[in-house]
Amino acid sequence: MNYSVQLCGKKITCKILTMKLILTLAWRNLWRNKRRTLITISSVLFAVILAVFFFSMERGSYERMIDTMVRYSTGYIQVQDVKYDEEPSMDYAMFFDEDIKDLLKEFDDEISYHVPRIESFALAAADEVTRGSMVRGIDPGLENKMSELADDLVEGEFIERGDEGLLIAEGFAGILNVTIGDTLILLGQGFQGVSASGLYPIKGIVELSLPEMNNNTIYMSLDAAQWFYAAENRLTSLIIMPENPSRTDQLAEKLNSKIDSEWYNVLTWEEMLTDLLAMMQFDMAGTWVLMIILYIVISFGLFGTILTMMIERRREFRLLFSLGLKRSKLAAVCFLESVFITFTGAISGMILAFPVVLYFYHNPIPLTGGMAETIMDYGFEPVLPFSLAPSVFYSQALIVLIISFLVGLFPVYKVFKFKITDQKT
Amino acid sequence: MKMLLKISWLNLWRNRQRSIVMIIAVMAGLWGGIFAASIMFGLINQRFESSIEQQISHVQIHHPEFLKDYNVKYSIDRWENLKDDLDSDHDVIAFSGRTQVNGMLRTATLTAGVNIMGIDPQMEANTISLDKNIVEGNYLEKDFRNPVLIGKSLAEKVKARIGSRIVLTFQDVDGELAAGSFRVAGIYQTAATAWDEMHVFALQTELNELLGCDEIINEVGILTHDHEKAAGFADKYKEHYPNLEIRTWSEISPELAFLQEMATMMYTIIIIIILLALAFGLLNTMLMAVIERIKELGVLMAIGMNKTRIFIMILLETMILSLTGAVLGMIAGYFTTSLLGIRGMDLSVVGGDALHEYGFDSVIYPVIEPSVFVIITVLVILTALFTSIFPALKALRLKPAEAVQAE
Repeated sequence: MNYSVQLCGKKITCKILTMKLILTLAWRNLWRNKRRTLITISSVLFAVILAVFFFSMERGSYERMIDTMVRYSTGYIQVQDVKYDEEPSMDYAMFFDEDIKDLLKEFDDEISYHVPRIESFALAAADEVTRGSMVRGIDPGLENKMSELADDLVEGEFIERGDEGLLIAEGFAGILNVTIGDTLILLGQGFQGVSASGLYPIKGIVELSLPEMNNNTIYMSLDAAQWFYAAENRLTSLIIMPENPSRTDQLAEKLNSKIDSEWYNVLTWEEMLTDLLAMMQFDMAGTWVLMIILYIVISFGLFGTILTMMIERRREFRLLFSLGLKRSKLAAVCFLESVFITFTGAISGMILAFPVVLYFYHNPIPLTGGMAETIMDYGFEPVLPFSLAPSVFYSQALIVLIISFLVGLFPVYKVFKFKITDQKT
Repeated sequence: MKMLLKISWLNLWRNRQRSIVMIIAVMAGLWGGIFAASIMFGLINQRFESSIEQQISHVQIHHPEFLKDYNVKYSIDRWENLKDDLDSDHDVIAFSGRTQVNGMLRTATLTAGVNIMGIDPQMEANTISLDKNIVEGNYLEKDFRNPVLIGKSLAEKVKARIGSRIVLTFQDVDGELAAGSFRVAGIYQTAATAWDEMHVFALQTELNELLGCDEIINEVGILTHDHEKAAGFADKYKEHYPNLEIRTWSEISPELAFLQEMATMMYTIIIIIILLALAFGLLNTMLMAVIERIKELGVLMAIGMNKTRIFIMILLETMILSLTGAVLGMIAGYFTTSLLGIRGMDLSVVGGDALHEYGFDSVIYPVIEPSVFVIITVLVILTALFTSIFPALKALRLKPAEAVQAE
């Protein structure tokens, strides 16, 4: 937008300081001292790359941990008897009746498949050794769909629906000193205190990745287990795998509203893995503290640069104000300078970090030595996986936005307080 | 030299605001770094101490076969000899011989797999301070019939209370199933929830009776004066008892040693990252200080100040700037850490309760080793050196004749 004035008989065309011009000015001001601006931008870039890298790594580890737990242990949603969560006893095994089956049918579109389980602790006795074990009744086909259990088979055959044979975890087989074809005596407590006992041949050996499970788990077919525990048509839990895992909560809510809440309880993996999630949050908080320290240090550096820029330009400011530039316009220019520096740094940081994180997402860093052993003891693969979750990136953008806003307030304040008549330098 | 020092110092205060910003940056960065490191050290030290003191002790002795499948029949055969030796050993503070058997715990409705430890109450109290960890009820006493101690997490899991009756089923020495009915006399809690859930303590005499033998010892836990000398101590006994498996805490729980190593590595990385971030700011500040003073530097050179001195002057300015910040930061860090080290920091309000699950305490007492301050000082000096090179080179490349002309 232009306007003209008559000055000393000459017509002069002036440009009004439009928004576009303010942006251009701010951008050009930055490059008046190229080296300094580049160093400041690099400091922001450095912080953003580090932060993205660390958060991605941490989130990646937890994503994998949660994935392992959901896949091998809890599933996304579980339906249980209302009291089972509090008191995981066979007495609180739920009735898997027509009502529940109808309910599953009703949400057929949203449920990919369901996995019934009946599990309890029982004694397993071989010829010489007797040990407590987790005896888990499963539907072999469905269980395999969920955790690919058949891939873990190291010896013998996988069990089938209605099978009378057992699958035994590899570590546990070692402890009991048994192999394929041997017979185990199982002794336990069934539904409503009925004593449970039976003789079962070992059909297969599976190697489970969680050491704790590998040392005490026995699988049997659902029918055999229901017979063993005298709990016909009963399950300790019914796992529901949603068609779309990201809509787990919505599905759980819908199921909850339809199910008879006097008898049944619908739990999501978040409710079942509270300890792990709390630990994860605590750990993340630690990383945040570190990153905030880092960002504070970076903000001071940025502040130093902005401060120097203000001091250098006192003469220029005086001139501009004398010429009639509105303070608000100059304040906007200075504010934008801080925003430009941080955002150039943040955006280029993310652009640079993305391919690195992407690479490590597909090729997790393998771990060695003590760290690898510790992680394996907890039952996880000894690698450092990365996450590509968008929040890893946008949380950094948010922080940088806050920083640039806070630091940018300083020149705004200075510009408004600036005394044109102050002759210092 | 003294003169240079003075010039550098005065130069810094020519632009007071900028220098103060930089000093605060260094201070805040190092204070934060020290604080973060002290929390991490506090956590790991507490984990280390609680694991050693409440669970594994310094050295453990087993029958070599026992560790493979925890079969109670693999006992320590020369227990009487070993006991005498340990009794007369000055390095030993306390030791405890335990009967250990794997079994199943049953209440009226619930079942869980547990490790049953038959102990001598006095010996165990001295070794793993079990009596001090009782949170409800009483410690094992002989006048209570068939008492057991169970962990708090196990009690919650199987819904047992003081006085509840529980049945323990396990295999005796001959491989036959044995079961005994016990009453919960006390509930204990250590820093590790998972450990509490696995261990049940009963009187050794009663457990041995059920097992069908006189005195069977499967595990000996030994507390010595110094955890660092555990390896030497273990070697001494290995010579006398070649048939036994003698392991130190670092062999029993390698992650304890590993965690400490990792903590040292982690804080070094943290401090280096913070210093790198600071280096950008320092570099900028010093570069500006040189560019602003081109004319002045030209004059100094023209009147005969040699290049080495100019270099030293700029180096000193950077050093003073960063070391002032570093010293202030370290003082602040030291005081914060000592203060919180006495009072403790309760992290349970921010989700620290989950720490129990992984064997950490939720009240943290931050600690910092004096060596950290030495390392920080060295690293700060290196950073200052490193960041002053570039501005100094810029100053050295100035041609006096041209520089004097500069505005």
